[in-house]
Amino acid sequence: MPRFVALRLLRMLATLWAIATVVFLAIRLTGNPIDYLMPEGLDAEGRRAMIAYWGLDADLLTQYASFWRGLAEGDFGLGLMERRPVSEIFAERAGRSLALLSLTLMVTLGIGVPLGVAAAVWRRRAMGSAVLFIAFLGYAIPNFVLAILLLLVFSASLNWLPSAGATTWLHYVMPTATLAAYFVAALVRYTRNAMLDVLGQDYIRTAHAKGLSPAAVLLRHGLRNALIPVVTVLGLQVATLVSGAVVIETVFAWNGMGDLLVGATLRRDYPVLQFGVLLVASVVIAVNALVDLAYVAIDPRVRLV
Amino acid sequence: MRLATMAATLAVAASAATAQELRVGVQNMAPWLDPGRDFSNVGSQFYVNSFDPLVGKDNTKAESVWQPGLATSWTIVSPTTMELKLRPDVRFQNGDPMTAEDVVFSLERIIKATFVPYTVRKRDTLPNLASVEIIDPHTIRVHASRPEPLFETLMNTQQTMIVSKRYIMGLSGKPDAIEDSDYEAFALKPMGTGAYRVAEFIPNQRLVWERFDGYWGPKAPFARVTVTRIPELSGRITALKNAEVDIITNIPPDQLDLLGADRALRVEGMVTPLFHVVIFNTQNPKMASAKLRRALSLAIDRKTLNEALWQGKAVVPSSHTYAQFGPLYMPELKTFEYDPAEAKRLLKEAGYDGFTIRFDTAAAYYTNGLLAAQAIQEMWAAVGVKSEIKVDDRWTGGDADMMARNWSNPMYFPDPVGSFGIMWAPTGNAATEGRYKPDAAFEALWDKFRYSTDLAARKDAYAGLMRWISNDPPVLPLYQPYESFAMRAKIAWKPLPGHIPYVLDFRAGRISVVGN
Repeated sequence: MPRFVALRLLRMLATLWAIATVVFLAIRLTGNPIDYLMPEGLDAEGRRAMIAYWGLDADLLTQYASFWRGLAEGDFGLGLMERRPVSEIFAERAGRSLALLSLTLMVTLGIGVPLGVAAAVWRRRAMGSAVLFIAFLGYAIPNFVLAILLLLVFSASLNWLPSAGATTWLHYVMPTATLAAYFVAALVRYTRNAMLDVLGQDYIRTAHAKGLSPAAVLLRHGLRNALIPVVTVLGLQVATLVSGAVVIETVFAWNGMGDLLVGATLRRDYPVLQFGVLLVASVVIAVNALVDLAYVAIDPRVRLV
Repeated sequence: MRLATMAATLAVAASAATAQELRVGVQNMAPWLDPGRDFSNVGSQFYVNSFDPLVGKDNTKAESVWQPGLATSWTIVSPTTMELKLRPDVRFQNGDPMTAEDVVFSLERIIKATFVPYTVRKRDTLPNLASVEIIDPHTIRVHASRPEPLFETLMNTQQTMIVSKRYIMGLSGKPDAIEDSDYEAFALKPMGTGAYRVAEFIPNQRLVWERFDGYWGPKAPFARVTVTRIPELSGRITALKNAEVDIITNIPPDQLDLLGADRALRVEGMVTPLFHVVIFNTQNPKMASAKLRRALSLAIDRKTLNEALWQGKAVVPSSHTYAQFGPLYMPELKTFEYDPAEAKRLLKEAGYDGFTIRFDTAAAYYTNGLLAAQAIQEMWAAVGVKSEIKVDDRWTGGDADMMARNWSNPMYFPDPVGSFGIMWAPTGNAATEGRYKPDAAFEALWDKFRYSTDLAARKDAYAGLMRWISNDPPVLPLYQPYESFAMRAKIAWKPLPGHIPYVLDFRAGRISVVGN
């Protein structure tokens, strides 16, 4: 067990290092913040002074070394646009983005899994088909289209829900619904398929034969075995969720982390982008580690070695 | 259903505008706020509410009508010296009194700049100012290097608004020394003498003002003004219809009828003192021929562009001139015209061999920018010029390979020096970036125009400059765009012609709520 944890941690760190290095190089090779930040009308001397002011006059190796030195010391640098610590910029925005992501995950699990089970159990009834049809719709409709439809109905026409910002719990309703629609739909389909697989197994027939109640068979023997592929998929979907949040945050004027990262990418705001990508990567890696732990909880045959 | 009803009640409760609060949805929020350093269209929206200049201005009029500001009176002591009497009992929003030291500091942080971003403003806005001197605690003198015809104008700009020396010094590092980090910190915690104090500023997201009760002038009409960034147009319109905000900015012309038809809403707009322009890189060997550039200018039918893209609401100028210039407004100059037959003739004379002209444009930075570029491409094709459009959000003005591109020339202060001059003077942005090189004749004319204190001589020199530009054009102003705002019907507000572009003036007398 300690060996597993140590190895796992090492692997996580190696992944983070690789991601940080690729991002460090990629954003520098594809553009220069100077092209976006430089005031117009500067002569060569003025340009040199501004480049030094942003700390972009060092060569690539020096920048790379100071990036890691900063990380080690917990100093992530100043944003080039806002000229204040990157950690401060993220502190303002990451909270509401992570809240949106967590809420979406909870809604996805809370609705997706039961509906998937229902679709499997009622696979020959109209109800099962209806669930599948709705899931198909949720899967097919692009999230920005759904967002605009919801805005049109609930904000512009009915005036029930606020459309912009993230200050009250009502502000969370439409962004969560929009973002969750796709993932609920995906989870319904995965859960249904996994359940259908499991429900055809011999041990399910055995469980029925030994007189267990249908609910016990379904939940203890069916769902628990079906959950392994479902949890795997869920872990993989977290990265997609983050990219979906970028679009949703723009439509709902969320001013969150996704919106920040898009702006930083467009303007090549190196420090913001590097920190943001590392943060998102850490979240994805942590979720995948949790998925691994979930395997142990779900399937007693899985051991941490 | 009960949940929905409850949600509806809460939404309405959360969004009900009171007379005490104004909520504004803007397309962009600034990354930092420092009036001395800022030249952007985004930051410039906000300063007038929190900072004051020494010389005030009646912003309801297009021409400059000076009024007492933080200076109650002034005299031009000599062609190079202006003396100002400071208003007594002015307080900064932190309670400190405004002193002559603050005024000297505010001006000299730019005139004698050491902080790099200020050096840029020194060069483009205040190159002729040399020093500021304290005569007594309520009197200062501003000294210029050469005769300065624009003292009042310069003391009214955003760049010369007054800030607190003691406050800025205390923001970081040593409390009794000025360091670059103090200026950086100030740009995140701006503080001045104006009608509203900045209560909260989250860069790129949100700005909250609160009424400053110690303001020397008429008290601000709102206890609180919240400005929130809503980047998407549909998001801004929805928030306005849903009564989450009271005013929204940046409405393109094609939305005006739709919004105007809603009885709960109102639209206001104004032709902005800013030109969308086409610029040429005269130093690119391919574009060196003045005849070629004249032909390209003459081939563009700006009236059609205005009708097609702006519903005829923009203004097509005959010269690089604005009504805001007052006595120097010279619409009688015919610097830029449409004459496709002459364009064809000039192309033949220039020996244009059919090479492709690269036209750079940002994707969405200028309203209708890409559409205008596409239309111009067709207009050039109609006289036989080949062109390709390169869409790129980067600024390519300093790129030696650039041939033509779109840009804007805003009015930074109400004189040709503050608009044409910022861009096209011998030391202006275009020449500094190396894509345009005025000759000795232009420089002599500019010198006469810039430093002459005789109005007739200045007008004469400006007419000469415009003739030079017409013969060897580095720029073609397309139109002054029509900028629109939408608001709840109960809000009475409109943009004022006496401001620089995009200013959101919410001070006393500039905005009211009907029924309050």
